[in-house]
Amino acid sequence: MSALLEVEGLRVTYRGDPIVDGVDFSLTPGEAVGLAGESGCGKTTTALALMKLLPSSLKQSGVITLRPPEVSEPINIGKRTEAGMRLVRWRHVSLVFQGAMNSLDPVQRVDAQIAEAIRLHESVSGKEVRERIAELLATVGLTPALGHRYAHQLSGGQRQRMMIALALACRPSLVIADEPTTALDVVIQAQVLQLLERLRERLGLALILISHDLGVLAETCDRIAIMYAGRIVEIGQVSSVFDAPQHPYTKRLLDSLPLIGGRRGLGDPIPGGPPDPGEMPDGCRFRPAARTPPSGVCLIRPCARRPRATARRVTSRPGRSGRPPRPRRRWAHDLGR
Amino acid sequence: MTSAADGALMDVRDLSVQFRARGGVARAVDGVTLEWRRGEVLGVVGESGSGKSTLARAMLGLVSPAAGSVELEGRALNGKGSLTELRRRVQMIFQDPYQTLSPRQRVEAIVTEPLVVQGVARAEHEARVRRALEDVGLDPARFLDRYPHQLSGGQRQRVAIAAALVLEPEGLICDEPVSMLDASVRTQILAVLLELQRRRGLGLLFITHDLSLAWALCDRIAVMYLGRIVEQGLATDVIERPRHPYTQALVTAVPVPTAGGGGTRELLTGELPDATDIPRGCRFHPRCPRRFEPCDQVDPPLIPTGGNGQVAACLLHDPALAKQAEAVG
Repeated sequence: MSALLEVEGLRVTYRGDPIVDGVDFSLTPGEAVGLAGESGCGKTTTALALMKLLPSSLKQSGVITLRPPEVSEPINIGKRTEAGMRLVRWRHVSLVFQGAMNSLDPVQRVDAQIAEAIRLHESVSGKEVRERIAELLATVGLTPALGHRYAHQLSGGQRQRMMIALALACRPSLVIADEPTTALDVVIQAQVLQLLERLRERLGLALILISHDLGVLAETCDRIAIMYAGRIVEIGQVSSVFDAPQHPYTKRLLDSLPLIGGRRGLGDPIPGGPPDPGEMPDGCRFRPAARTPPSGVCLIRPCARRPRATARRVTSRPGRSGRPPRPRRRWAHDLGR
Repeated sequence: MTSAADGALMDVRDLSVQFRARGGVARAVDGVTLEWRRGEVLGVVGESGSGKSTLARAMLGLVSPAAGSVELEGRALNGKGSLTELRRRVQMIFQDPYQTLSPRQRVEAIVTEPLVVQGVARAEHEARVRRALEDVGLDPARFLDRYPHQLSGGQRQRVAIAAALVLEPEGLICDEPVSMLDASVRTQILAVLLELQRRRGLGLLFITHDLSLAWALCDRIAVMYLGRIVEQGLATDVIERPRHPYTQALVTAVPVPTAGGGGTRELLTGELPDATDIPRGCRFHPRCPRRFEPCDQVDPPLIPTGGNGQVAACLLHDPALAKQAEAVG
């Protein structure tokens, strides 16, 4: 099966410092891939780059190719203009953000926001739009009455369901969900994850799920990519990454998670933190944090990609300080504009 | 993780806290009795809205109870004098290290303030502030002069802990202390807290929604639902052999970081009801998969369910009603 999405050599820089530094991965139709890593590792930046939603102070390069089944020509996202991207966002790829409270417009009823997303991409009658909304709400397990509410009148779980309904409004083939359950309680989180799983089965939806919670990814994804300091350091089937992690960082990350029924107490902390984008060390980026260089190799030359893509490569660049700006907030339904 | 069973540090007896809310009175904490022993790591777990943070605040006199009492070593708290003593001996740290520190104060001033408030002799200040910072793994020479915006999230939380520890309290209430921190930083902060518990016998009360964390660190766990403790016991018993259907549902809902996750499972439907409108009878019965005849009428007390002092507020464990429950299935 040909890939639905192919990302090659994705780089995002802030004043020349790499935030995302050579990310490659692909996704087949209907597949769910998880992106895991700590804050600042570049997972959200990667997601925003896929939709070309980065603030203008961040520069992106690399090839992103999208092949939605309903379109004959592949879409080269890297070359699309802002106007061209508006035709892609929401129609072919949509995004579910972390804080549903902050991505729904507070002064518009939620059904109106869904209607707007539909009307921007398709010329359909009012009756059809209303039917679509009722169907979407039913799909995510909400009653039609909830559509007439404002965001603040919904609970956290309802808002996140509403965001998912909005993301599905134009029947995209790929949904990118950035920490969709982080603000939710464990029971509601499990409900939302179950919903995503059912939607994947029913609609053949492909999913990129971003989370720092490895448990969430293990439950939901087919493959998982571990990011560290702007790079994917390990990618593979969920079972192989969890059962036999190859990269020392993945191992440490898995060891640091308490697992009910496993060993009680705390795992060994990973000392220090990840390097700043302006001060990437020579050699393996993980080495300074782990303080356990596996061998001299990491210091002097790039580690080759091993079969299961255990990649460690060298970048050597003079450091410059300054943190990248936070992406500007936009309401979710504005993204199609 | 020692179960030093040498008496209670704090006792909460039949405590209720109410707030006026739109649509009536919210019973945030609704009759909670809890013992926190000296040097013990006690976990209070539950969903948001279960009342666990309100309970913690009431224990430190930050909100006043509608009924019931909070005791420090057997003496009830009343009046300003006893609150001052309480806060010298029991301190609290909060979830958000970005909001708990004053942005206009340097680390030195932040950590010194509790000493000033408690009237500790000025001559002692510097040495105690330095020791508190060293205890949390911050080099005083590097950090005393910094402002919070010059610190990472993990460093801020360490400063908050240092400010709480500078009075050398016997207990520390931690309200979701690591839920905003990354996996690696989280382990570092928890290691600092557990080291202090081990070395100094500092009692820790963890308020958390993270069951696997509570399971890994706590001696005992109390599970809260809608303002009430519904199950309590040794951490291993409560999480590995939960007796209350709510605890069972919570444990099942935890995502498992292993290949394939936790597999298929039955999930609770619906969401936590409003605290202004607590269901009659057992407050969990509208969502309970195992409810039977009397559940919508009888408000169950905590019933012993086996060894090690495990108790659950569920009529399934009432010997007289258990037969009836079996008949229902």
